[in-house]
Amino acid sequence: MVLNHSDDGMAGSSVPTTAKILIAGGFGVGKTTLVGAISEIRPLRTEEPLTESSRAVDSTRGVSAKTTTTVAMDFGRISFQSELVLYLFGTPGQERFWFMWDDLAIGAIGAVVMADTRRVADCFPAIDYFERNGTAFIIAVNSFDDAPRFGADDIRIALTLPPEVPVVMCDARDRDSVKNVLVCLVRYVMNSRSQPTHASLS
Amino acid sequence: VPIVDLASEIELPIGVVRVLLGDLTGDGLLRIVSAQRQPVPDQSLLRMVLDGLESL
Repeated sequence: MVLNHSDDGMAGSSVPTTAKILIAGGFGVGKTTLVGAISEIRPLRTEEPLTESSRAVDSTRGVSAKTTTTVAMDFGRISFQSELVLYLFGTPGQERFWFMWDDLAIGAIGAVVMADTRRVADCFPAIDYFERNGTAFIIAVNSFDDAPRFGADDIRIALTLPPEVPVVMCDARDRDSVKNVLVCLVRYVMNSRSQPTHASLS
Repeated sequence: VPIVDLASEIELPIGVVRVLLGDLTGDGLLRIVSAQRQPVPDQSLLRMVLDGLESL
């Protein structure tokens, strides 16, 4: 939706073209970090402290230093020249907030599903979701310092991914690394559109 | 102005902003226009995004 302070005065001001990419993945996988690493403004955060009552639903197994969680969504904006704005939406990590995804998925270029090798199964729900609604996605393995390292093929097997879905390693804190992930997604979407039966990543 | 930009600027949760905007619209103080949005981004948009990302 776009707001207009009606009755112009600002008539003729062109509405920039917008595109969006979704950033998904399990709880605590680094979505907030990734969005913050590349977007030009501070992500729209609504971090809430983890409380006693959420302990049963939000497992911090393996990420015990985590004391807050993103409740709504992170939001980043990258403005390119030529009136193009790319929005990044970090989707909620907790499944109980997934009703918000249906709105988000409409019109998105695609999604980056982030994976943590310590808790690789956490991204299954996101993969299921995007496969069901036909959103193109790639897997970005966030390389945590203390996490075991696996090759892209091992991850692909563990997640039972179709062969054409790209799996890339990344460091969510690193701007160039994040940029590479987004480029990979856009290329993948472009290629799969032009060659629907032989989608491949160049 | 997209609602997400507003929410970010004034540092309020997007749900709160939606409610505020809803109230303002209800009182006739504001008009909400839906952005034109393609259900699926076309190749030219993808190319623009790709070029933009690569030039970052």
